Formats: sequence, structure tokens, C-alpha cells
Amino acid sequence: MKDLHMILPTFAPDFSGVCSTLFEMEGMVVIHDAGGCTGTFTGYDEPRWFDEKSCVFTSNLDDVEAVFGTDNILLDKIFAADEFLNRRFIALLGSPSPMVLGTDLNALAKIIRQKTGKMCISFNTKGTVFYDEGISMALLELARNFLPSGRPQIIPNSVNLIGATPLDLTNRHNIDVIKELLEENGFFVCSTWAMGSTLDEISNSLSAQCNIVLTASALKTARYLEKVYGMPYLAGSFSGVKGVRECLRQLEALLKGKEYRKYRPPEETGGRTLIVGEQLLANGIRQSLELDFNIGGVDVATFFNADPQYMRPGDCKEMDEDELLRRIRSGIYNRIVGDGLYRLFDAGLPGCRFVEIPHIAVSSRLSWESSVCPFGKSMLELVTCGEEEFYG
Amino acid sequence: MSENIYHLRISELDRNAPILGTKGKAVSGACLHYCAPGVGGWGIVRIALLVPESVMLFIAPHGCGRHGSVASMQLGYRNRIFYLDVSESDIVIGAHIDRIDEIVEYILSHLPKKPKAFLICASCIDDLLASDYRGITRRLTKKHGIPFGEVHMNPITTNSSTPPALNVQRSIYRFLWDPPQEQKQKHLQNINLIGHFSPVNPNSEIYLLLQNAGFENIYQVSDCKSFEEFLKMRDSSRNILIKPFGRLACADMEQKLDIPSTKKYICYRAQGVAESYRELGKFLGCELDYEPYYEAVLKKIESHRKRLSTLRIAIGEGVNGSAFEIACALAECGAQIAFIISSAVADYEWEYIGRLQKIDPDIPIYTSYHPTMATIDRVKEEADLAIGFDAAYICQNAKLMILDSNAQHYGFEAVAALLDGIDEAMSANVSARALLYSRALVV
Repeated sequence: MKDLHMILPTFAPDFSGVCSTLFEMEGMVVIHDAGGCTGTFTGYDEPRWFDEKSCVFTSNLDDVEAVFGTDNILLDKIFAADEFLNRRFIALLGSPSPMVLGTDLNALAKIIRQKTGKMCISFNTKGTVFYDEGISMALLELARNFLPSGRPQIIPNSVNLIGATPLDLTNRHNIDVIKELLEENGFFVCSTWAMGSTLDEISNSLSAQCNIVLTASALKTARYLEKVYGMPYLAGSFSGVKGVRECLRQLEALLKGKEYRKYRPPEETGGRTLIVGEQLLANGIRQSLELDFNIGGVDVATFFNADPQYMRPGDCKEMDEDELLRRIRSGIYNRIVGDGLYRLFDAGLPGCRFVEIPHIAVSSRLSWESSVCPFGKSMLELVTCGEEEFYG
Repeated sequence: MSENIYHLRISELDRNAPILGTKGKAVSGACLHYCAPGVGGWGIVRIALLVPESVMLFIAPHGCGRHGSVASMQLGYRNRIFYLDVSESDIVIGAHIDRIDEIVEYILSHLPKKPKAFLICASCIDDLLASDYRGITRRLTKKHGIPFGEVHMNPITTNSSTPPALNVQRSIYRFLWDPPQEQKQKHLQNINLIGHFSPVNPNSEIYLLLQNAGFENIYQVSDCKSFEEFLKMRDSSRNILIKPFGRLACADMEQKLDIPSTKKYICYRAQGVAESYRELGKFLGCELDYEPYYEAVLKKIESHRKRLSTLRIAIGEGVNGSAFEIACALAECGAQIAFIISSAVADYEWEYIGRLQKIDPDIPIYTSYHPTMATIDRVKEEADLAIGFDAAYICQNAKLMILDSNAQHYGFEAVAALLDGIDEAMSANVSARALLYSRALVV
């Protein structure tokens, strides 16, 4: 049944995507809501919330303010907080109630800019779309508002990583693995948008030679940076050994301005593989399965948005629970890779192997302590051990 | 950032402060709210599903269902709740309302057995749109032959006179009187305990006291094994409200079912418990023989007094009961109160504040939600023990005692549980973070 969640939890919403992206950016982030949306982000979509500090607040909207449209109450709260917090910028986010009320967040942001003299960015988040759209919005606003007008001197063999949040990559260790893979191969990582870098590092990131896009929600920003600053980009794949090698060759070609011909995937032999997850991360896993294991017939499916340029025939975007169930029960897949919660769909399919790779935007705190790393060599162990462990 | 964390001294709490909904007098003026990791509670969905053998359809933008759906997986009731995502276009044309019949039929057809009751939960947006869930549930009740009830998870009403925490209990007990039934004779030997979530601890003396007073059947929704057993609560002769959240439900039952009620909130001061039982006896028209339990607990307090007098204790707002009352109970036993967390002071708490002001007028009162809290890892006060996750979060060197709504103590047993719990916590070494996230608290 369309739009009905019978098995899985509902997924991380757009405001969580924005907050997650801005978490380390030294701003004051205000969700205009009654508290529940903010509690969802802080308690269920942000693994860093207990151990790290970030100024994310709820406006504590109530029904009287909503009905009478007294936006000055919200503004006064923001001005008062800004006086003693004095953060570098202010971000104002919507939620379902302001959406219904038609609150003009852009106008409010303009008033805040005029009164405080600070950058204030508004995000028309609604809670009706998924986190990836929120990440996409927030990355783009970082690029639009915090980068200088021209590029400084370019550092040879340097890159930015764009699209990193715990909602897709779980934790900072996983980012460090990607960085190490690049540094071991002679590349310098200027900045990571937006996990593990400061706002200043991101502001200075135009000195990188190119951008590596980690997740599909960063593609819009990468294309913006290409259009405005002429920075080339590529979709990164950091799973496995040969999979990473392929990505590094592609990167070298990009930096040298050479054409790169992608490998030809192996043919399907004895059953297909389904990877369920964020599109580009799933593509990276597919690349590893194809090159490290010579496994063919790999489909990527996602509940979220996917970029057509990076889809293959058989891939699927914006699916619902019924579509996943239909695929799993179709009997054509003998291996499923994805969040542990997808096991709930797997009952009654003997012989189907499962490789667990957490996706926090789906399973939230149920897997945010997970130490599973799908990058580099550990991907090889995951597939080998996972197949043994989860053989039905 | 400022290092000055907003707080008051207990002597500065103001009886004339603005009212914060039904919570009482606000501790801080209007401000942005920080959502500290240690705050939260059971959540509306989990409370509503205390109705035995019920299922729920939650209708809202998916962002609203996120915390409750993950919590339901953590706590093992995901198979009783179904989430319908509402899109922006649904909201504009009301399509989500039009789909309810179809979705309900789909759910009923996919359940292994027909539920005894069906809850439909709406969110803030349907409140703002004035969607008629009462009419929908009445129609569905007739159509499917099982009672449908409406629930509202609408934090936008938190500061109103009918906040979600009170309203959800009205929704639970509405099944007792809506649809209206022919009034049966009240069973004089039946009595209800209202307002709490987990069943009162079986070691509480209240069971024996009530049984000895002639109340053979003591009902509480979380202890009912079946929907039929839950419905027997409508025939009880009395309600005892043991936590404030059931206040509106009790008022409804008084009006609709002619069940009188009395407020006897959980407390931890032995003298307060004794006074409570004296008054309860008057309400029930009998004397409750609580003296032996009172004497036993006074002895227990004496045996703990020396230990308590060496402890600095912080008390959070997330405790099961009043933070001020607990602080008062402990301070009167010799403990030093390091700080208290409170967002508002309820009318009944001023008595304890008065007592605490006499003991130590400088006790700091923090609010978890004030934006200055976002700037610190810890407050400057040191404590040996923090009661409640919110207190432990800002005092991370202290030992943690949880004392939340997952365990419901009552009467002198609650006093004993507090004292024993302190001993246990002081000798334990637990990770507040791991424990906190295992509790599936919801804001």
C-alpha cells in the first residue's frame, strides 16, 4: 500500500538532513516547530548529540502563536539567544506546522539578517520529504553563502569530499577511512562537507583541485561548484580494494583532464544481488562486488532520490516497502546488501544471503553504535563473513 | 559563547511567574528551547498503546512518525502500529483523510487476528486543519464492529490547557464510555489506579491496604491482560489518580461514568505518604491500616540517614514524581541537594519548595531547555549522585539513578525503592549514554 509503513520505521526527514549537515558549522540552527521535530533530530537522527555540542533549537511553537501568526515571538527568541550565543550564522528551518500555516521563512530570515547583521539562511523544510533533500539544500546553501567569489591558488592533487553526514556514513571513523585511502595514494583532502571540517575549512575549500561526491544529495552542490567555479567532480567509490583502485584511476584521469573509460561489469552468474541504500554508496559497493568478487547482476534500489546519470537498468529509486518486498520475494536475488532492518523482509527465503551495512537514515539509533565500515578492505571482510554468517 | 548558564536559586522561584500550560509557573521566560539528550518520556504512541489488544494507525508527515516508529521497534510493539505518510499535496486537498477507510481495511486484512480496539492518531497539522477525526472514528466503529478511538500527537498544544500528555489519557479511557453503554451497578469492591504507565510495583503496600479495606479488584490499564478486562474499569466505584497526567481522564470518568476520584500523587517523603493514606481512607470511607508500613520505613530511613548525609545529590525533571518533592525527601534525610532541574513549578510543589528554601535557599534550579545549556558539558556544581538522565547529563561524574516511569513505585514502597535505589546506584558503574538510548525516550 502506497505511503504505508507496515514494517520499517519512517525515514529521516528533510529537517534532520539540514541539521545534520549544519551540525558542525558553528551556526545557530532553529527549527520552527513545537519541539517534536527537533526531538526527532536530536534523539533519533543525530548520533553525535550526546557527546558533542551544537546549537540546534526548537522555536517551541504553540497553538496560540500558530493561530494568531505572531512571528515576532519567534524573532524575539532568536534575537535573545543570538545575544549570548553569538554564533557565526543563523539557520531557520520549517516543519509541518509552519508549512500548513504558510509561514514565510524567507521573509523572517531577511528580518533576522537586518536586525543582527548576520547571515541568516532559511530552509523550507516540511517533514513531508526525506533527509536527502535536506542535505542537498544545506550543502548548496553552504556553497552559495560561505565561499569567496573566486578560487585561490589550487593545491595539486587535492580534493574535497562532499556529502558526508552520519545519516549516510554512520560515523567519523568511516570518513577517516576514506581520507586515509586518498592520502595513502597521494591526494590531499582539503575539506569534508560537512563532517570533520570547520566552516573556515569549508570556506577555504576552493583551493582543492576537484570535488568527490560521496552521496547523491551532494550532486547538486558539486554541479553548482562546477558551473560557478569550474571545479570538476566525480562520484566517489571507496568500497573494496579493486573498487577503490578503479575510483582512484578515474580521479587521476579527471585531474589530468583525460577521458576515462569505465570497466565493463561481469555477467550475472547464478542469481542477482540487490543493494538497498543510498545511491552512490550503494554504487560503490556494487563496484567492489563486480571488481573484487567478479559478481555480476547487481541492482541498486533506494527508498530515496537517485540521480538518473548514476542509475543502471534494473536500479530503482523512491521505492516503497511493497516494492522492496516484491523484489525480495521475486526469488531472483540470492544476496541482499543493506541495513539490518531489511532482514525483516527476508523471512522465508532460504538460501538468500545478507550483508548488513547500516543506514542511519533508516534504522536510526538501532544501528548508530555499529562499527561496520563499508569502505576499503573491510568491505571484503563484510562480504566474506556476511555471506557465511547470514546464509539462510 | 557565554559561560553564564541560566539558572535561579530556589529562593528566587516566583509564584507570579507566567504560566507554562498545565505544568505550572515557568522557571524561565519565553526562549528558544534546547533539547538536551536526557529529556523525553514515554511518548503519545506508546502511552496510547497501553490499551490492551489495540492497534494504531498513525497519520502524519513521515517526520512526525520517525521517533515513535523507531522507539516501537526498540521496545517491541512495532507490529501494533502502522504509519501513513502524509504528503504536502495530501494536506492541501485532504487526500489523507479520504484514504483512511481504505488503509484501515488494508491493515485489518493483513493482521493475523482482528484487534479489539483501533486507535487513529493525528498530528499537529490535522489540528490546524480542524480535521474531524471524531466523526471518522465513529463511522469506522459502526462499519467494523470494533471500537475506534482518536489520539492526538500534537505537541503544538503543549502549552494549552489540554496538552498531549493529558489528552492521550482521555483518549485511552474514552473507550470506557464512548460509545455510551447502559450504566451498570458499580462494583463497590473494584477500584482503579489512574495516571501512570507501568503497573504499580507488586511489592507496594497499597494493594494490601486496599484489599483489606474491601477492594478486591484493583485495576490499572497497563496491568489489564485483555480489552475486556480493561473495560471492567468502567464499573469500578472509585478512581485514585496517582500521577497528574490522568487528571482530565478522571474528570471525564466522573462526569460520564459517575466514578468519583481523588488525587494521591506518588511521593517519596514518608510523612507525605502517611498523610496521603490518611486522606485516602477518608475518601474511601474507611481507615487504612498503614502504620506498620510507616514504622518500617521510618526505621529504614534512620538506617540510611548517615550515608545520605555524606551525599550531594542532583535531581532531574525526568524522574517519576516531583523533583522538588524528592529533593525535599532527601534533604530532610540529611542529603545535600546539588541542584534541581525544572521547567515549571506545579501548584502542589510550592509546599516542598517552601521546605527546601528553609533548608538551603541557594539550591540552584536549572532548566534543561534554556539555550545556554547548549554551551556546556556540565554545570559547575559537583554531585555524587544524579537522579534522572537529564541531571546525569549535565553532571557526568555523578553516579546515575534512573527512577523513571518504566518502574512505578507507590506508597512507602516508593520511599524504600528510592533509598535502596540510591545504594544500588552508588555501587554501580553504568553508561548513562547506553542506558538512555535503550529507554527509547521521546520528546
